[in-house]
Amino acid sequence: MKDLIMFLILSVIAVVSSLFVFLSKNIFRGALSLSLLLVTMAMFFAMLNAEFIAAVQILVYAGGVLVLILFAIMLTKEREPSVSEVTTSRAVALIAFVVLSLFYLAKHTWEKYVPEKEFSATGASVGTKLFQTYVIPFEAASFLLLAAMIGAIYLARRRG
Amino acid sequence: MVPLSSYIMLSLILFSIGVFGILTTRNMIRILMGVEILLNSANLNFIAFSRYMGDITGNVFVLFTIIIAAAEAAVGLAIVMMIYRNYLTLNVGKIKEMRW
Repeated sequence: MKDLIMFLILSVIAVVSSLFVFLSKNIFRGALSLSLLLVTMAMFFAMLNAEFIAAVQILVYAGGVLVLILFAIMLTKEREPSVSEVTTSRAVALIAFVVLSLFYLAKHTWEKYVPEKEFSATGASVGTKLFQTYVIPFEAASFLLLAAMIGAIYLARRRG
Repeated sequence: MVPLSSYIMLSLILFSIGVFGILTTRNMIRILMGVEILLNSANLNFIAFSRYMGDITGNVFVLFTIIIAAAEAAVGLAIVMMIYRNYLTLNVGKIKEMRW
């Protein structure tokens, strides 16, 4: 019961903040609303016993990606409003899509997935899996990060 | 315990909002923020299934997704800065020519 109340509160925060990302007049406020969404996601991960991923989410998203986005917003200047234009037909299309997909989901039976009581994705268990089964993808990811870093520096450099 | 379907429904709603925002806004930075919302809703699905099936692989995949999202944000925002320097606008509707 406590879980359900927590889930409802968090999901309301998540939906409202994700809408506000596109509907806020000021793009800076949109980015702050995105940070609220990311922290809410970390709380969902913690609720699902994925403690390590929750910590990584806060470190990388709220600490890294969001700072990048805020920097980009502050270094550029908007000359025209960029709010999503929500016309009636667009809103109807969105709501119709969501409702129809929810009906489709409700038809499926998910009850066969019963969570085990003692399941905990700690840093130790995730790390063991990562360095035993997924070593090669891990090394590929480190190479990807290097390539992204060099590429970003090359692109953003001011040419003389 | 919250049923698995509620996590899937929340993830579906967030994904729809993200797609809707990407399709309706004209600002490049807002589009990148929408991509982050999409990736996060997919991550939520991964973690929920990982918990309910008792398999840790979903957590490892989310770790990879977060790495790729960070790389995507860095390169994407560098491209945004370069486009802004050349065109002095962030409106994707106004960028009509490529240089080469």
